[in-house]
Amino acid sequence: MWAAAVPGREPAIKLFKRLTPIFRGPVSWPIVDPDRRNEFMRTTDALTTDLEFLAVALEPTFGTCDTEALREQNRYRRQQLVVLAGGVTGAVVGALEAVFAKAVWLGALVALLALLSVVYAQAMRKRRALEQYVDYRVRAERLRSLYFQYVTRVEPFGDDDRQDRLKAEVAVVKTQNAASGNGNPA
Amino acid sequence: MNPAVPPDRVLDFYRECRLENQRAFYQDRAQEYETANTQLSWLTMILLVAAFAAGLLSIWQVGFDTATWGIVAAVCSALVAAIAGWGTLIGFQQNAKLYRGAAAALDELGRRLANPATQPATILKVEEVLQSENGQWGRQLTADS
Repeated sequence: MWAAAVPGREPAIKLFKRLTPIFRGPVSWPIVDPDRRNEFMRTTDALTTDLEFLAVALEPTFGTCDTEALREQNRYRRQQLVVLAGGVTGAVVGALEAVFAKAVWLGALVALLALLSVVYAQAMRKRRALEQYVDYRVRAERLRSLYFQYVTRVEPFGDDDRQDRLKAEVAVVKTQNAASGNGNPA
Repeated sequence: MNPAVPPDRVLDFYRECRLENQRAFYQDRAQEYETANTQLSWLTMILLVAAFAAGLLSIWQVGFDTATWGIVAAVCSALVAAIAGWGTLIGFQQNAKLYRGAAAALDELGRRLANPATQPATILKVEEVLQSENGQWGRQLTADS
């Protein structure tokens, strides 16, 4: 999430700022800005060992969960946009049909749109993009939290077996289904 | 277990890369969503006024006939519905509130982090706040769908 603080030219229209990323591929950012991490590692021995261990034991799983969360988020939002576009099109075609009552093909088009909407809604239910999105996001954020708990050696990483504890925690996050409520300690 | 107080540089790392970074994220995103929500309200109002105007113009048949103005009114109304749907999809209003709340909580915890006696407890509290925000977000999103 550090990427959000990267300075750049901000568009004045915020309303549609989240629209373009929906159509891009998922881009997962590391938990910590690599430059800042390297700088801390250069100056602090205590951090170097921990961050190197985390880079192997936690970050790959985080990367997978974060990427999947972004992918499913985009998929879910694209699906919803198709539904919204379908609604607008249906309303406009319906209005046209009311005006051009003799154009039978407009009636057929409205019926076709309605049918496509039903089929699409069914396909969306099967994909379960929203559940997947929430599930992977909760997992990724849990891993992010474990990362910093480990570095600061707070519970449950205060003892000598902290590396084993971390591996076990990562394995739990990897396998459990967060959407069922097991993955989010909150 | 009585966890040791983290060394200063580790604490600096945590403060900068976790707490401050997350707080900045929440503040930026809250600001963006609040602005987006205001823009959404304005655009909705403009489209509704346009739909109303098209309705009136259709009665007087100014420029175009009744049917054409009727189509314009229908398009404006459909766009209002679509934009409202977009606002719900991103959750501008609800998420802005959620992010503001989380940023304020982190702000307070950031000050507490300066006290060495409570550092481990404060770090755990920060993580709890972040997980809680994440949980609320998930529940809200699922409920909105």
